[in-house]
Amino acid sequence: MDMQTRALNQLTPSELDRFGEEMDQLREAVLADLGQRDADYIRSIVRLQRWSEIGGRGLIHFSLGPLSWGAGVAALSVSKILENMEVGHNVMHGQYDWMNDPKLQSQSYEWDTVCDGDSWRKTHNYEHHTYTNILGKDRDYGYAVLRLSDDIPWKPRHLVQFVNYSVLSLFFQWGVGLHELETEKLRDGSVTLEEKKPFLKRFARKATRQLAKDYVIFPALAGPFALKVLAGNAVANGARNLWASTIIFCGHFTEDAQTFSEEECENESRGMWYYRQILGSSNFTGGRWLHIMSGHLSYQVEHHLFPDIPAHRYPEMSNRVQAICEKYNIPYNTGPFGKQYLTVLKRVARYSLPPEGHPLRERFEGVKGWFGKLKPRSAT
Amino acid sequence: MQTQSNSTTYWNNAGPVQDTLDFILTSIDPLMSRQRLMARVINCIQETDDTLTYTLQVCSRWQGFKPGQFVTISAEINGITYKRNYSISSSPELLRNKRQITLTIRAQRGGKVSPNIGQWLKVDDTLEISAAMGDFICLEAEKQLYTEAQRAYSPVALIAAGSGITPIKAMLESFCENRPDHDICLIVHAANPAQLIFANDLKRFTQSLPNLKLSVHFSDKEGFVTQNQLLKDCPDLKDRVLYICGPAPFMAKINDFAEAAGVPDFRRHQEAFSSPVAPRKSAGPVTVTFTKTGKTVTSANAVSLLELAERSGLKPKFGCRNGICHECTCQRTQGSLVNALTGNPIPDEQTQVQSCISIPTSDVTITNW
Repeated sequence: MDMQTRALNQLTPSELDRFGEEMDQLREAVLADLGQRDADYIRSIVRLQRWSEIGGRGLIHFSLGPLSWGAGVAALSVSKILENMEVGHNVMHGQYDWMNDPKLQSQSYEWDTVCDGDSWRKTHNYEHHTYTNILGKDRDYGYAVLRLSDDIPWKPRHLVQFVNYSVLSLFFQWGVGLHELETEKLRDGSVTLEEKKPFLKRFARKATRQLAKDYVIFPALAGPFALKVLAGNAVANGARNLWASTIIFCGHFTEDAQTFSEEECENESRGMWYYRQILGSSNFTGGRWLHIMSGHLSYQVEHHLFPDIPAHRYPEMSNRVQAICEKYNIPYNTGPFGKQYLTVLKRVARYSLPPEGHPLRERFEGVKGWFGKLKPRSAT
Repeated sequence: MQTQSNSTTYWNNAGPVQDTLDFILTSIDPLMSRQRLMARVINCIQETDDTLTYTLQVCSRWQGFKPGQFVTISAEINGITYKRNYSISSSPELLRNKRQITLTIRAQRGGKVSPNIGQWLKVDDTLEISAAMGDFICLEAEKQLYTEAQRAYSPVALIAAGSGITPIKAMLESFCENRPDHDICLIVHAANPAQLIFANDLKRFTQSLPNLKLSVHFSDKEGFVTQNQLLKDCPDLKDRVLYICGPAPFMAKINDFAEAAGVPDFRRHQEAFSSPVAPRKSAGPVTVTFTKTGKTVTSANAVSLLELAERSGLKPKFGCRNGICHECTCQRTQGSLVNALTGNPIPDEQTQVQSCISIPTSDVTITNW
């Protein structure tokens, strides 16, 4: 906790106000510049996504061997990833509301995952983006499944949280879809199942449609070859799950991404909100395709500063954001994709162990090898 | 409106199947869309120096129009889709024979769409259009009052100013085709001869409609319309069915004159070409109308749309109440707003607005609450 509090107090209130104004100016400049380029971009991605879905499903359906089947699965996976990451997530943030295009409107868009659009808009756009990395308020922090900071009391089950993490990644859409259920609150009794009934109804309806599409209707269309279609769709959904989970974990759970307490975020100014978004997020670098396939969540910092600005603008905004960060001496967390992801894995592993001073900790201290490297850096 | 068929209902229920099939169809030809009515520009002629007539090839699902009706076109300019209403200026015959309609569009000063329409709407472009709408239809309302035979001999007065002549022209085309001997008094107002739209067509009408009496006035020379002038052009005004189309002040004047001349209310038909540009700022309290629930609320201070909605008893969805999450987005069709975070006006063309940070500065209409 020490580290975070120190970081938040580094800037004076007036410095934070000026910093906030500079961010606002950048935001206004880009908003004023939105136009045909952005409309053409998102439509070109939608076209690419639709063709890759049509091509992918067609190939799976009519595949003659493992090669064409594999190509079909790859194309369908790409389509699902593009639809979820670059189109769905971004459109639902309101990034393209200004276009007045009924097909690209935040409040009515429905995406290709078991997570119901309304549920996502509530838990992600509102809760996660407003209370980013505030422990106890941002339920995305560890998804109530993983222990990713010492603020969460250690329990023996955390020792195997790597298994939990792997399962969550593979079935990520189900985790995201059921996020609003708030199982941890159901367990401690602060929320009743009765209160969650409307949500469960919506979830069941959406999940049924999704399951019917990928595991009943499309396989049935293939008649005797139903099994290969079912398998292909399952692999594509799984690939999308793994990819989405990996990208999203790189956004907030890297080694240096910070967490905050509710108290330090009370009566937060706009400048402080911006500041918290930067400290709590991390970017990764890579080629243009990596950015597009990640829905530009590779620019998680920019995305959290400006969640409703078209994401393909983040690369060009990044230079200015970095310059402002440098000016106010604010850390800007970025690095190559592989390196950032490695720090995520380290975080998952590190916090599976009890905190320092815990009686069980000593038993692990003796273990040589990579466990030894997992000591929290805050000790410095 | 036409009743929707089962097939239309199916396609309008946006779902992955419909969306994908429609995507494939529109990739082949936009006019094949099943979800939207589309048209292709096949010709564009300069009518006057600020007026263009577009000939549109409409898709096979477009269901036709009655002379005097208008369509809403969706115009994409710099990534933003604007919707504008334009009267159809062509004859039903052109639609029957070639599946074409014409729209005659004049540049409106200060407008977002019409001033540069020639730059963004070109031959071969495709655009979305609505079904034909409006009840400014020649001798349509009279169906309930008169027999078919009486209707055929009801004399009419068609009175147009400026671009208000566009629906009138469609009516005249229809008379040429169906009842060329109908008794028509046509009064056309324009600023000057160069601004007169359809000058050649008017000549054609005087030849093919023997009982047409045409009067043309130019306000640059003669000033605005007067009661004397109107009654001189049309001495038997009170016996006619009136169709009036033009700028609002012009229509208001004609209406007053006609009422004074004894034309009953039900025989005065007019088409309002409303300006989409809202007043920038109104002093004093503003009224917000929520058309879906029919509620209204008045505000004298800088209060957000979300709070005003809650004050009026609505319970809209909301999230951060701070301009971040877009959960409280609502649909604004009229009125001006400022962004509470920046103090800047929210562009008029932006219909989806975040209600928690939008403060009305004029009377505002919200359609989805």
